[in-house]
Amino acid sequence: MRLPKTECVYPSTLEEACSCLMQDEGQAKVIAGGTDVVVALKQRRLATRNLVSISCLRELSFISSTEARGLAIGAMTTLSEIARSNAVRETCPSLAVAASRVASPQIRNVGTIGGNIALDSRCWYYNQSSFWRSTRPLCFKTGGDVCHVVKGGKRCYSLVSADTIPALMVAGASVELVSQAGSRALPIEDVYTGDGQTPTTIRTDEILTRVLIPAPIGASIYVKNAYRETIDFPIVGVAAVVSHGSNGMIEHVRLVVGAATTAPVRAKAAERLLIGREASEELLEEAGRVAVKELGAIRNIFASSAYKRRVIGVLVKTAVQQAASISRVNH
Amino acid sequence: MRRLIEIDVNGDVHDLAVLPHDTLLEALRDGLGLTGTKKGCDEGTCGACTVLLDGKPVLSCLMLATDAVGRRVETIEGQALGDQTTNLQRAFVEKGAVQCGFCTPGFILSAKALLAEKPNPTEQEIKEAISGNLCRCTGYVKIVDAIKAAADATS
Repeated sequence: MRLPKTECVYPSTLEEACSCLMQDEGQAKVIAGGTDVVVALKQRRLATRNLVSISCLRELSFISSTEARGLAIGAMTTLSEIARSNAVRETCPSLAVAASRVASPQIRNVGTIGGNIALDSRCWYYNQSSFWRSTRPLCFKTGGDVCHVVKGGKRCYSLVSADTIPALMVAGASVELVSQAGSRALPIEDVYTGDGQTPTTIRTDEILTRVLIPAPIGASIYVKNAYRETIDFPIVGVAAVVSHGSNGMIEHVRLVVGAATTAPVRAKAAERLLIGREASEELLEEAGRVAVKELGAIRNIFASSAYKRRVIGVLVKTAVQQAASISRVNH
Repeated sequence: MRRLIEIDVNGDVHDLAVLPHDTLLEALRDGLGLTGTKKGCDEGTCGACTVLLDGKPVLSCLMLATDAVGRRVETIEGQALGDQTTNLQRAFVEKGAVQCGFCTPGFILSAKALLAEKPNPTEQEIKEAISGNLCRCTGYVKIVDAIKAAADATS
């Protein structure tokens, strides 16, 4: 499949890149590794004909410890680099695991953390070529007024599926966004709107420059359910962080369920259930049930809602079990 | 408007006139006539277009040709020199890891990168290294055997 006729500029400074993004009346788009953008262009899902490559901005490719004993990761750092990094494995294991589970080795060698965070939302209708989609009227996400995936749906239900997102959320990460207007920091959960049509709050003139992760509290993990062991996006991805108090009970816990809904969800009710208690089999089963309930409606996208609800329960239990056992050992 | 780029493929530097939206796969196959790298799914899900970029496996169908400027590209054509084949290539043939052969160039390059980093990989490490390459013919068992055999032959 040929890409459409597209221009691509390679600015050598961040400032230049921000200026390039102002071109073409907000239609210009950032391309980093390109593993999502190139497919979107081939399938004619992106209107842009002007790409601004940030691949020459070497200063955006780094992993370093912060003074606060956390991590700062440049947005252009590849998922392979993150998966292999001892610093990430120690400070944010959920991220190291999540990064190692994205797609395939080839995609991880080129795909960036910034790109994974800013990934477009997905559904089985939208992620097809324009030829394939042309057999039906345009959906909400492509400018029409119907959803082909949720019967009678009144909005876009496309899913935010990237693996690293739940892992970063449980770690309390934030992102830095830079534009000609200045820069801003955003807790990662505030990046996601819950609206499939515009899944992120990242403006068209903004470049995601780095990810900041605070010092870890407890042990973190990411578990993924997908059709195959490799290549596929998650059907459900769950991240958990658990720490134990001096009384041997769970002191701190964060649980995020990703890929099942239009934005990743913090399972707060399930978290509240676990605090101050021991991670027994029965408690974890209940936490799973509570998490499924607080996610609300789950749609038949990529897998049936019944299957997803079942898997959420299992993954919540697995994630907390694994994080809790590491936390207990460390305690 | 075509732009003239310098692209290092298998150690040879080529001048190629490319459009900004040409992929590296198109540049290699149509621009340079190096058709050993295959166009399978053309959307990043099969691995048939795998080439090495600075020694690391990447999908050339998802890479703009201009992104390869200043980098070292290796394709399947760069593996054998004249009549000589590499350990990997011989192992693939001897172990029956080649049926239709379409996926083979991608597998050889993914395996080459693995053995460069881990000369004695475990079976699990081999499987993870080739997890981005699909084969419709062989069922993968003989491919894993071939990579193991090549690793043994080299050590």
